[in-house]
Amino acid sequence: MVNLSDPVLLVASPLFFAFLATIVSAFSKKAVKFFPVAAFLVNSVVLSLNASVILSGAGIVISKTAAMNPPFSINMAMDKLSFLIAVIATLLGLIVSVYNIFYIRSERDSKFYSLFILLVGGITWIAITGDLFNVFVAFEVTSIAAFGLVGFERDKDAAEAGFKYLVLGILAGTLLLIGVVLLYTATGTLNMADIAMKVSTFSFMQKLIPFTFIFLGLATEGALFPLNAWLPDAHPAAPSGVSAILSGIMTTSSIYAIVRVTVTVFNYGTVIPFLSLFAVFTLFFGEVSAFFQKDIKRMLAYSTIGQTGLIFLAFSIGSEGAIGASFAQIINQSLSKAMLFLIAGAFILVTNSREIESLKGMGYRMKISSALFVAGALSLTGLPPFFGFVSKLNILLSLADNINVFTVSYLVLAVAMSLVEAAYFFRVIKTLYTRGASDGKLHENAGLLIPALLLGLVLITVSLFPAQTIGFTKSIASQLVNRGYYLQAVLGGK
Amino acid sequence: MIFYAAALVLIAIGLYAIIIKKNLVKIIIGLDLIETGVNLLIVSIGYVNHGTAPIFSKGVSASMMVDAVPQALTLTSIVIGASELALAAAFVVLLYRHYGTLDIRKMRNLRW
Amino acid sequence: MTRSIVYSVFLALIVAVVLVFLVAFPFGQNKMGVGQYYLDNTVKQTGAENVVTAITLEYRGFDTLGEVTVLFAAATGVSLLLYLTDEEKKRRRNPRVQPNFVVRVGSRIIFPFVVLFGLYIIVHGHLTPGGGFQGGAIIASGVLMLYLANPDMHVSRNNLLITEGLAGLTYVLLGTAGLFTAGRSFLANFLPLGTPGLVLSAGILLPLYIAVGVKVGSEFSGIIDDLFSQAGETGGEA
Repeated sequence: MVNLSDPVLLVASPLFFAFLATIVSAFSKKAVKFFPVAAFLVNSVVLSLNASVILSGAGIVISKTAAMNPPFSINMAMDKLSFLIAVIATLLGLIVSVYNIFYIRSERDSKFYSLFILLVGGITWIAITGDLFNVFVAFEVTSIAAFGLVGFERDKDAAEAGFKYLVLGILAGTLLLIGVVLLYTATGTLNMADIAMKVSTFSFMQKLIPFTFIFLGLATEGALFPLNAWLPDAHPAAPSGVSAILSGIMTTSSIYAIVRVTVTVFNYGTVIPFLSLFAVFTLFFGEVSAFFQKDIKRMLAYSTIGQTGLIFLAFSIGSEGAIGASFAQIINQSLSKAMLFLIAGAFILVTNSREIESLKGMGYRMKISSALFVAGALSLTGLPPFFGFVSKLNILLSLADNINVFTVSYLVLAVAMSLVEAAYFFRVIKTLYTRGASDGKLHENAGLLIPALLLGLVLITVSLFPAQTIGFTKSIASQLVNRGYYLQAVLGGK
Repeated sequence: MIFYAAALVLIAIGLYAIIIKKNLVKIIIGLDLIETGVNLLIVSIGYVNHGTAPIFSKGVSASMMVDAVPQALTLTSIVIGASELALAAAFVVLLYRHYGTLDIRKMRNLRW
Repeated sequence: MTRSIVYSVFLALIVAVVLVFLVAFPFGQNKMGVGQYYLDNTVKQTGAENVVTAITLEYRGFDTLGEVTVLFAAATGVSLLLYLTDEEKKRRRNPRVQPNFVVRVGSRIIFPFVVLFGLYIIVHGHLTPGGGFQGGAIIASGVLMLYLANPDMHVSRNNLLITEGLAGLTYVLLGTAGLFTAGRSFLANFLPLGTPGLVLSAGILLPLYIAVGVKVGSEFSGIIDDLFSQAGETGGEA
């Protein structure tokens, strides 16, 4: 019959539900609320059907379209790394969809939910596709959905943030497109594996120009310094559920794309150390700026920039262990940051303010929410017993693994920034547990709390099995680095 | 070569407009220029000397045609460009509603 | 002033860098990779005569699905940003000048011809230059003409929503149907290819492009309606 594990369904199902939602919205505005949940449930099923092949079988799933073999058609190539990103995206999408049902109350519901499905579906699309122009198209789907969602509240903040994001996001897409086109000029094909074969004969300089364009385009969306001017405005202006997705997995998906292009397509070992410069500036800028924020969502947004810098720093060390460590950090940042944004959203709904000061005493008035916030903060900062400790430790260890002037200074910087991170998070925790003016218990909306709780449970589960998780990320890294396997699977296939 | 240069100059002019101009509508026009320049670049890359349009009819064979792939890519790019311009226009309308002016210097977060 | 000069130099540098790269691939030189394969095999494999259409809908049909989705996301986003409830719309006084008789009636006479032309372009996408996007844009421009000529023009948004949703769904379902058929892959061309040169040929390419054309037409019409509904709004606060 039909192959239900075909990765194409990971894209077809969100699109199906998004279009269906548009039809249904003409009849019943309320029913549309549940469509994102349905879409991501279907995606979860597809992903779990693929799990055994990815985790213990061949490790990669290829799917063609148009009944033609690559490179003459577009193909999906889901290897372990793609699988990880897709799983994180679908998991966050599913949980935040439930959150949104209770958070969004407005007449424009139906359109919000369609765009939300497209946002998360687009991220999954970027992760699993094996064609470079398709990456550009999926990138645009995600971006445009994000622009609309950032502007959702329609107030001054949202309009300005949305516009700035739009201009920079479009420029990013254009840079990416120019890079892809230059690559097409040089190689005559758009399939990632095919390009990889052809590019291997190029010299460093010949590869540099297309790579730079592609890198700059993706780096803008991935919030690397100095191209992240849009993020501190855009992530806070969006509704909290959307912020959770944007900070949790969207910026990371651009980092994924950079990794995929650098390692699988270009095999650009020699350029990776230069990328570390971007990483450290991003890390420094993000964490230090976060320290000075008084608005909780802005603080979390800058923290995302810092974390992205850290993840990218780990990648730019270049060793297999370091790359694995960056993936572990991705897992940590996605789960924790999304949970933090969800809780922040619940707080903001109750206090009607985004100021950190307004959270005074919340620790006693919204006990469970605050406890979850503390858990997320501790994991992000890298304290035991949470997974963040393991992932950050791994990064520091890989920095220490090969000592030279750069890695030592990076090590010092990473530790220093972790201290800064701890400082601003502990400041918030202190405010939470300082008794405020009023003292009564506040109702914690179950609809908002349960999704955050679920994320917390996932985080705790991962924290309880660090060895398995690290083992998995290590296998991702080794599969990534040995890219011959990927090329053979795509091009040598049936 | 002149075709490549022309397309790139268009892109550069569009970029210049986005960076320097203070009027929201002019910034959108800059975006449009960039899109147009990129599309021009893509199409000019596909050209084959003395080639003809990649459409089969009497007397036209495959060896006489230009590369059809960049044309398909341009098609996609044009539609994506039009969509983002529509969204940009919507944002400009929203901003005008809030501020009553199109000058980005008057808007808190857009000044730079 | 100095800022402008600095930026201009910077931009000129970027242009120069790209030109240096492109010197190795001169204009007009045949650099085709997969392009040649498409030119050689289109008629055989897809039954279409327009190679660009074959690439857009068959070989790279997945990209086109993405493109349709981008347009959908943009139209939905515009609607999300500019949505007015029905009461707000009624409160709005339209200050636009009533165009004269010739324009108003003439536009309504011309409109069916514009739509017809658009449909012609859509349906012949696999035979002549054109296709769903182009035809859909033509239809939408016809709608724009109506809006410009008739200040009281409005389209039923619900109808547009149903149309664009159905069209998009058609594309996705046609693609998914490919999973069930012998080709066993998304967007496999499972309908008979027919004789090249006839309108009824090229398998699923024709239905796909019709779906695309309808979607594009309805979506641009929706965007036009949203933007026009903003007319009459006074701007800004103090």
